[in-house]
Parts: sequence; C-alpha cells; structure tokens
Amino acid sequence: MIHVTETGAVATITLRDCEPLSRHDIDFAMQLRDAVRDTADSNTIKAIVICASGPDFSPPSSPTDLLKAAEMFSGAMRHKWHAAYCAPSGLYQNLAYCKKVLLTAVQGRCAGAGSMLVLCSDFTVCASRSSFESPFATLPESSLVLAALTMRLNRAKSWMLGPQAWNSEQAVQAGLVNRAVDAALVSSQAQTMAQLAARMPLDGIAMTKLLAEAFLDTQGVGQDFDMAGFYCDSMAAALHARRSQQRGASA
Amino acid sequence: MKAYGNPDSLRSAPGQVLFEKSANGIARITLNRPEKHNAMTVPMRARLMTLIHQCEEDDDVRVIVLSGNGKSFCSGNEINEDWGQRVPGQKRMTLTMANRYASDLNYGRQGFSQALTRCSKITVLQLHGYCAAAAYFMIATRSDLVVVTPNSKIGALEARFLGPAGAVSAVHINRILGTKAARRYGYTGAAMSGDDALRLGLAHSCVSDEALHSEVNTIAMHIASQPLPLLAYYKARIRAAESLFQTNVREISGLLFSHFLQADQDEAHFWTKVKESGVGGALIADKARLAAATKKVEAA
Repeated sequence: MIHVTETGAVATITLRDCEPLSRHDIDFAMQLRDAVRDTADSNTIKAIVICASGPDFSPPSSPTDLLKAAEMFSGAMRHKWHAAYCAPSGLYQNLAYCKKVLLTAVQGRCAGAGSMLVLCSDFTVCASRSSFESPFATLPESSLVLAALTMRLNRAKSWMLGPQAWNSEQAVQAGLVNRAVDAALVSSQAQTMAQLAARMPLDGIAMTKLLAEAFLDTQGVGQDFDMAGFYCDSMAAALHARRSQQRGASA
Repeated sequence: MKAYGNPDSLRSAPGQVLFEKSANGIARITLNRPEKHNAMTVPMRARLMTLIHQCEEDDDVRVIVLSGNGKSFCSGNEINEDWGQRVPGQKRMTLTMANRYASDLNYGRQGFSQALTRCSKITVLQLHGYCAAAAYFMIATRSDLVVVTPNSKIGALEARFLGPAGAVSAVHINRILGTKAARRYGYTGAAMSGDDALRLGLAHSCVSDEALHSEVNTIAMHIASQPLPLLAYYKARIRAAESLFQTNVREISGLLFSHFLQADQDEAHFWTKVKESGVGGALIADKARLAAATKKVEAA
C-alpha cells in the first residue's frame, strides 16, 4: 500500500490515498510512520515527498467508519490510537519533527488526515482544483496549534468553524499551501521544490531541522499532541450527535 | 528504523536487559551487565524501549519496576562503543550522526527517555549504588517513583570529564531539584546520596540496601491493586502536567555538540586515554593528571 522510491537525495513515498489514516487504520498509520522514519534516517536522503496515486490525496471517510473509529479512540483501544498517531514516536510527530525536509503533493480533495499531513509538512504543492477540509471535526489528534502557526490563529479558527472546505486559492492565501499549479504539474513541481531543498548540505539540513524542532516545541506543538487524549471523548460525543442529527434530518 | 549497534552488542542485548512479568500486574525490567555497572549500550536502550512499549500494550501490566543487577543500578551510557557510526576515513562524527545518536538513540522523540517519560503505565525505579550520567537524567528523573538507599550515588558524575551537557539545562532535572540544586550538581559533577535525593525531592523514599527490594515490591503491589482506568487517568494527568512543563523540549544539545565539535584539551585527554586503556583506565589517568596539576599549583 505504501511505496518508497529514491532519486538522488529525494525520496518519494506514494500512497493510494490518506483515507485509511482518517478512519484510524492503525496498521496503515504505523506503515507510513515507519516509511517516513526509515527514509529520514538515511545518510543520503535530504528531502521526502509524500503523494497519492489515487484521484484524491485524502478523500473524506464515511460517517459509519468515523463512528467506528470514535469507539476505538474513546474506548479500550485508546492507548493504541495514541501511540500510533500522537505519541512522540507516533506518525504525526514523526512528520512534524521529521529530520529531513518534508513535502506534500496534493491532488483533488484533501480531508481529515490529509490535511494533517499538509500541516505537518514543510512545503505543499497542490492542484489548482484541490480543496482542503479542516481536520478538526473528525480527528482528535489534529493540531490546532500547528494550524495556527501555519496560517495564524484567526484563520485557523475560520478553517475550523467555517462551513466549507477551502479551495486552493484560499489555501495559498492562508499560507497552508505554498503553490497551486495545474493538476498535471503537481508531481513535477513537488519534485523540483524537493531538489531545490536537497541542494543544502546534509548537516545543514540536520541543523536547520533541529532549530525548527526547538521553535515548534516552544510554540506548543508537542504539547498539543500530548493533550490529544483529552479531546477524544468530546470528539466521540460530537460524531454521535452529528450522526443523530443527520438521521433526524433524513427521517 | 535500522537496529544500530555492533554484532556483539546486538547479540548480547536480550541477556543484558531482562524482562519478567508477574501475575499481579507487575512487570520488572532489570539491567544485567553488572561487570560494567550496567552501562547501557545502544542495543540495550533499544531493548528497553521495546519492552516499555510492550508493557504499554499489555492490559495485564499495571506498573513497571526498573532495577539493575550487581553493585549499581546503572553507570549511564556505554561511552566506548561502536554502534555502527564509524566510517572508514572519517575522522569525526558528522552532525547528522551526532543527531541520530543524541536524538533517536537517546533523548529525542524516538529515544527511549521519551518512551519512559510518556509511558502510559506507572514506573518505579529501584535505585542502588551508582546512578550516573544518562541513567540519572534519562531514567531516574523520568521515572514516576524513585526508591533509593543511603549509599546511592546519583548525578552527572561524568561532568568531570565530559562537561555537564544536559545535567544543568534538562527541564526534568530543574523541575525536580530546583534550579540551584540542578546547577550545583550539574556543574560540579558531585554525587547525590540517597538522603540528598530524598531531601531534594527526587526520591519517593530512602531505605536500607537490605530493605530496598521489599520496599519497592510493597509500592508496586499497592499500585497494581488499583483499577486500570484509574491508573490510566493518573498517567494522563501526569502526561498533561509534564507537557505543560514543556518536558518535551530538547534538552541535550550539549551532548550532541560534544560529539560534533573538536574536543577541548581536558576532554581530548580523556578520550585519548579511553582509546588506549578503556573507560576505567581513562578515569584513573584523569585523576592522576588532576592530582599532578593540583600539586603544581600548590608548589607555585
């Protein structure tokens, strides 16, 4: 499900899409975590691109799958969920604090975990027709601190509370995405940006990422992940309430 | 991630970090390299981390007890070790390698000290004899409850020849001992006795060597008798408090840079002697060098 290729100092991690992450497929999360961690540990790799082979980088999960996931992270499986997604050695801290430059290449829709991958990456290139949904309505592990740092506080609130997904233009304006290009050029643009970043000496990247890590830490990114366990129960209640609301509306 | 180490240290690690789980919810992780005061190799630390994660996933485990066989709990990291970092023709470690050692194999998000700090099970440290260097700031200050004996010798004892590194700046140490005591013990490399550790707040209790095992057992059994959800709740509160204290902030850049930069004369002397006659020989030579220097000053 996850393929890793290397071209010079750039590694590319290709998934079908990020939907399994959104419905909390723990095995998938650990596979992606391992791919990122192992690639970042290489002495030859300087930049890592994450992209999807499917039409959408991260299509939304079904309400039923989300409810199943909510039962998991608010129940007996909470430890596994926390270890896979939020812990220092979990997926998102491996991405946000990656030792190498991390890029995301987004095609189509980007919801749930895909939006978290974008928030955790250093650069993002998207297609001009891409859309970005806030991850906060479905993922207790999503980081509002990271969103506020990326696009500033009130924009992060707007993204969280607003009724609609952002289009690529809004995402670029907010600072969530670096560049929106024609769909056919997303991959090559991401590779070009990765090659540019890979011009820096390896130890230069190590030093820069250490300093960036200190910055993110002092701003509370690690703390937000630590606190994710406290958001689970209210998230589960919210998903159940929304499901009841939808059933009421359809009846 | 790749398992770092050399063939010998990788092969030895399972026998050097023992694991035992009892029916009453107590898991024991015991360092078993007594001939080296349980100095931890890279593969030993990797095994510790694996065992901690294993305990976290096991609902039968309610409390983890850490201890060491032999004269001491642990003298710190094995510093005279080939963990796969040596590259033919390369004179010094690169920053990339130093970062891997300091962060991934020790103090960073992937390192075992974070696995211990943010462990979802209660941890109890049974501490006797030496608890020095990395054992002090990666285990003693990261465990939930620490039980010591009056004869314990705890601290950044390596500061005499390696510099205080994280012993002064570590968030945990400052939170636990207070800034003045953290600096005093960090800069001087003095050893804290068990009574000192109790007075300063590091230790939960201080008992005789003979009573240590039974004291730890009593504490562990009390914890293990609590319902699992209550223990999970306690640990969630501890994790949140530690997070608000920013104990996730990098605290060991000193060690990282000491692996990267040219060593000063004192440290260079130590490392030269380590290559010639091992850590024990270097410590003896260091003492002799300092004694000679002191004599020279007194004569002047």
